[in-house]
Amino acid sequence: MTKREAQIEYERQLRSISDTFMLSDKLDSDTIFNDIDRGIKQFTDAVYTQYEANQKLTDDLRLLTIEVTPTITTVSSNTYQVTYAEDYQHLLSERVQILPIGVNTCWPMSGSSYVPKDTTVVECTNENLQNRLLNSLSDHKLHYAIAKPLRLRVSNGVKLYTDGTYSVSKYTCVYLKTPDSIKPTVNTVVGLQENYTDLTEASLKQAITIAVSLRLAMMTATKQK
Amino acid sequence: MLSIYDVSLTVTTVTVEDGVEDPVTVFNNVIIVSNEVAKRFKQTDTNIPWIDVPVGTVHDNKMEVYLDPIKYSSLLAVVNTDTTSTSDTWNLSISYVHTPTIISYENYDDITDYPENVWYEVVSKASTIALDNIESERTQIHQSVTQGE
Repeated sequence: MTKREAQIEYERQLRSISDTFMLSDKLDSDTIFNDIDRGIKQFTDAVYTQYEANQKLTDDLRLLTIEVTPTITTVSSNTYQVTYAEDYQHLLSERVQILPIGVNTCWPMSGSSYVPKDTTVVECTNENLQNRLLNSLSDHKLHYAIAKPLRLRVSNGVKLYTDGTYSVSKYTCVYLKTPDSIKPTVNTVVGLQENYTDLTEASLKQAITIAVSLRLAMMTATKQK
Repeated sequence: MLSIYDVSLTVTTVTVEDGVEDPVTVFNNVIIVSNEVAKRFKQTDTNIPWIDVPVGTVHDNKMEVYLDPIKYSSLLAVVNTDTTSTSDTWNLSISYVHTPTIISYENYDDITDYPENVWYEVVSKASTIALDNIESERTQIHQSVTQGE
C-alpha cells in the first residue's frame, strides 16, 4: 500500500462516519500521517505482546522481523558487548558461536583451526549476575567444550560474559524493529507515492482504523470541554 | 452575475499508443466552497490533499479550482507552466443566475430574461409601486415592496 493509498483509506473511513470531514473538517495530510503513525504505534504495541501466539498475530508483524549479526566488541578477557540497531524494539531470539581461548583438546577441529560451536545464552539480571559468575556450576563455565555465555541487557545492547576460557565469536539475534513513520521522506507528490513496507496491507488497514477511532475520540473529548 | 449554481470541469487526456492518439474525456462536478474551507485543499509544505471531487472558490472576482495533485499531475503541469500542450486540455463550465437586463424606453427589443407569464407579475408589481409613489404614502411604498418580495 502506498502512503497516498493509506491517506485515502483514512479519509474514506472518517467520511463514512461524518460528512463534515469532506469539506469543513478536512484534515491536512501532515495531520493525517501523524494520526496514522499513532495508529501504527498502538497496533504494533498491542500485537508485540502476543507475537507468535498464533499464525495471524505472527503474520501481522512478520515484515518487522529482522535478523542481524552485529559486531562484537571485546570489553575484557571474559566480557563482550554487542550494540543493537537504533530501530530495535523487541527481542525474539538470539544465538551465539563460541571458540576456545588457547588450547582445548576436547574441541572439534577442522584442519588446524577450531570449529565454532553454536549455543544459546543464559539470560541474567544485574541482581543475579555476580552470583552466576561466581557459581562454579553456572552454565557459562566451560565443561567438555559446552557452555552458554551469560547475557545481560544494557542500555543500547547486551553484554555477554564467559568464564575466560572461551570467546564469543558471533552473536545473532532476531528482533522486531520499530515501524518506520508513514510520513513521506520528502513531502512532495513523489514522496506520497512511496510504498509503506513495514506492515502488510491488512495490518496497515487495521492501524488506520485505530487512527480513525483515536481522532474521533479526540474530537469528542474536545467538544465535551 | 448574481449567484453561481453549478460548476463542472471537463478534462481530456490524450494518450498515444502505437502512434494512435486516444483521447479520454472525464467529467467532474466542482463543489463550490468558501475561501475558509478552500484553504484545506491548497497544496502547501504540510499538506498534499486528496481531492476526489474538485472544489472551487470565488476569490478576487476569479474562480479558483483545486484538483488532486497526483491524479491531475500532468494537467497541473500544463496549467502551471502555461504552455500550450495538446496532451491534456480542460474546460470549466459555470452556470449562474445573471443580473436582469435593465429596461429602457430607448430600447424596444424583446427582453428574454423572463418567460411571458412572469411578465404579468412584474408589470403588476411595477404598477403597484408607481401608484404608491403617486399617492406619496411612503410607509405604504415600503410595505408594498416588502410584500412583493
